[in-house]
Amino acid sequence: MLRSLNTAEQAMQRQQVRIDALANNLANVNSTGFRAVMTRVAEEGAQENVAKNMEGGLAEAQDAQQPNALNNDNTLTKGNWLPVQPLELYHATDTRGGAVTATGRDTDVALLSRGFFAIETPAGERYTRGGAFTINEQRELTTPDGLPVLGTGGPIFLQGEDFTIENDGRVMVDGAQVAQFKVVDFGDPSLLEHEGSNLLRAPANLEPQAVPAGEIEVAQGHLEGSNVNAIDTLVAMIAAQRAFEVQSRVMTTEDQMLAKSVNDLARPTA
Amino acid sequence: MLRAMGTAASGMKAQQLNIDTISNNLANVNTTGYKRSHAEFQDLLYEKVMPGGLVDAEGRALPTRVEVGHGVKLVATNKNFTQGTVVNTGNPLDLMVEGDGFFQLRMPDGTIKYTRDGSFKMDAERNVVTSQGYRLEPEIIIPEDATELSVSRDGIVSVMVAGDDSNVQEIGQIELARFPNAAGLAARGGNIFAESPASGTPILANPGQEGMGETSAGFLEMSNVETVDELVSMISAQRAYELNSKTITMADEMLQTVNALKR
Repeated sequence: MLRSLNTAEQAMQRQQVRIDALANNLANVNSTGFRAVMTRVAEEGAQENVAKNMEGGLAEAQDAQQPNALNNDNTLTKGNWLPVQPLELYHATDTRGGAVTATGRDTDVALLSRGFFAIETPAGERYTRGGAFTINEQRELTTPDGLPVLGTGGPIFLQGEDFTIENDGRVMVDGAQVAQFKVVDFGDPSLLEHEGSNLLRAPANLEPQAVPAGEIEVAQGHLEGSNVNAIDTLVAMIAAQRAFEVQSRVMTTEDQMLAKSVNDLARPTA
Repeated sequence: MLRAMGTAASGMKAQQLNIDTISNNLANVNTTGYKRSHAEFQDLLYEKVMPGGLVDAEGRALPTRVEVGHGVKLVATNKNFTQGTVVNTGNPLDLMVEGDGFFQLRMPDGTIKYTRDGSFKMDAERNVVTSQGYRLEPEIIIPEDATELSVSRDGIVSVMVAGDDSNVQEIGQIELARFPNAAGLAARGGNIFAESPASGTPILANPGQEGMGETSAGFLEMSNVETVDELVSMISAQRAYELNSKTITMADEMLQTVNALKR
């Protein structure tokens, strides 16, 4: 009896966390190069399925809650309680591209090919698709927060009069190549973790692999926008809100049943 | 309480700043030499509800994690230095730079500042000055007996002297400044920009030389604000604002649901 109260409570908490994550996506609908957090609610103990789904289904939208059904291997035998399976929550990074718009600023760079720009931070290398770069006092190409953008040979310095960024990611100053953007990709980029400030961090088991120079394609004077899909996100939020309500109904029903058993059943009939 | 409320509030504030930037662009759609701004956004910090890389009882690394962000922030408003639209004024002291380059102005404190606004006038001391009275650098003084003034495409200012149509005098040469990274210039208001560490040091040359644009007299460079683009950005900002307000409504409804648990 109390167990299902507990289950409903946990399910509500998970839907709440899910709404929080989706709200963050909506708030970043105009953030340069932002990658949405995809939320997925699955049954606990079904992690393999989830992993498989994630491999195959990442391109899908944040999908609705998986049916709260029993697994095939969960057989109900005599003397066995029905296993309680609170819903488990998983997040992944949406790797789809955002819309590219022309800005006309020389230091705006959109990455049109796969991969991420490498950024140097005090805590180690981070990755971004947000190419709204700027130039600092040392004439170094940096993010808007002042973190150096990395080339294949380290930070990119733009000493000289004119600089251009070629389509293949070469940085030219006064007609001579001074750097090549370091663009890396990952076996499964959906595992990248969000760090804020448009930066993504690779977890320990995810190794960056350099994208071959021939595959890199960038556009100077352009920016890639956020990949948040407002419709998908809103639909997922509605689904999460309703799931939250359903669980609250489970709780109140449970509460009523408890009240009945405690107050009425125990009362000796006249 | 729900993080979603604070997240959505940050989203609404960001879109408000976005609208502020866009409306400033639209307000300056007819300002001579105005360069449009663009608001740049980034996501805020993330809270790891469940960190990635956890290992389950059987030693398998879980491929997933739960992370919740806290919304959005404005990181920069970037100036865009593309060429503005051109208007023909016919006034010989209205100058436009076709291409790269800024006019240099001598400020009252002796420093040099830069502008694309070429609507020059003559002041009481017959100096060529901007509308605010800042002198063009290098200084050009129009002689008292001058009748007609012309500025060539390479920036040479010459006048005709009264009573003698064949007497054309050169009275000065306009010099332009160009920057390695014009987007890094510091906006000082009044269409004036100042050199900053990010812009790099100015490169000086006469119009039409060393990559400078040419000067055309009788024309003015208006703002580079594209009204259609700005309106589209405004609509998208407004809708994003609405979306975030929906999040707040939704979070509010969820809290109502919670309140209804205990009757």
